[in-house]
Amino acid sequence: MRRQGTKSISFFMELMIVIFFFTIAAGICVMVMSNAHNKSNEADDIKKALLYGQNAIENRCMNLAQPSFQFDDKGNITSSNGEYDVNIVILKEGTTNDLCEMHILKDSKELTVLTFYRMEDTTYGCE
Amino acid sequence: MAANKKSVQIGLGISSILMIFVVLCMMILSLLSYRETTQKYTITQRQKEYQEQYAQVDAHMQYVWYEMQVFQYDNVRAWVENETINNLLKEFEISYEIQEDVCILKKHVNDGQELMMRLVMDNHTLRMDAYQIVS
Repeated sequence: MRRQGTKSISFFMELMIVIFFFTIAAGICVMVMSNAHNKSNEADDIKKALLYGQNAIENRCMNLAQPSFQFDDKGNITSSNGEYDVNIVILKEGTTNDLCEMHILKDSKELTVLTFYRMEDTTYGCE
Repeated sequence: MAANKKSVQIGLGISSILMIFVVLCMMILSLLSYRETTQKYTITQRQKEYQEQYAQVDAHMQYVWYEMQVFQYDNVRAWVENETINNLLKEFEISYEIQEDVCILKKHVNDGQELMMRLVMDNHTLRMDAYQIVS
């Protein structure tokens, strides 16, 4: 009976130690995974921001004449409830057109800055 | 009766071996996932830098091109020697070469790449003959 009791206590102690180390290891793994997940999301956001921004510039959207607008998750231009905020800053005013910067932000975090030459006749493409 | 009371016993050390196996699997999976994400992030950052640089160079070149079109001269050199254009070329760090009636503007994009714009004199105005990335 005594031998049986000692064995149970040893098993219980071992189990406790195993649970303790497993918890620590699982915590570290969760931290690494969540870090990786955040980085992956950030990379996706940067890719989308670049794509949508470049698209708007190349299509010479008339919205580029506005100081700010938004992109939704699919890259469509909206005036509200979009995922990406876009701010247009004029860097240099030219004789006919202006040199501008497009700042694309998500949750107040700047994702990318694209410089572009804003034509006066930005009346085609996009909405 | 005593023989019937036998129960299944888990040996000492089994749980430790199991834990080591599970933790190793978890660690390997999470490290692989982290490595892949880091690579993806690095590629995205490089792509972002390149696109930003290219967009800036392209915008500067276009700005200079449209400003040049405002003026009319008899020879190509007069355009680049115009005070406004010359200041713009210096400000945007655009280099130029003149060969008879041809003016070549170049701006560095990134390692070993330049955006080149070739302008040809055409009846007191400039005509864009080529606009391309050269290595």
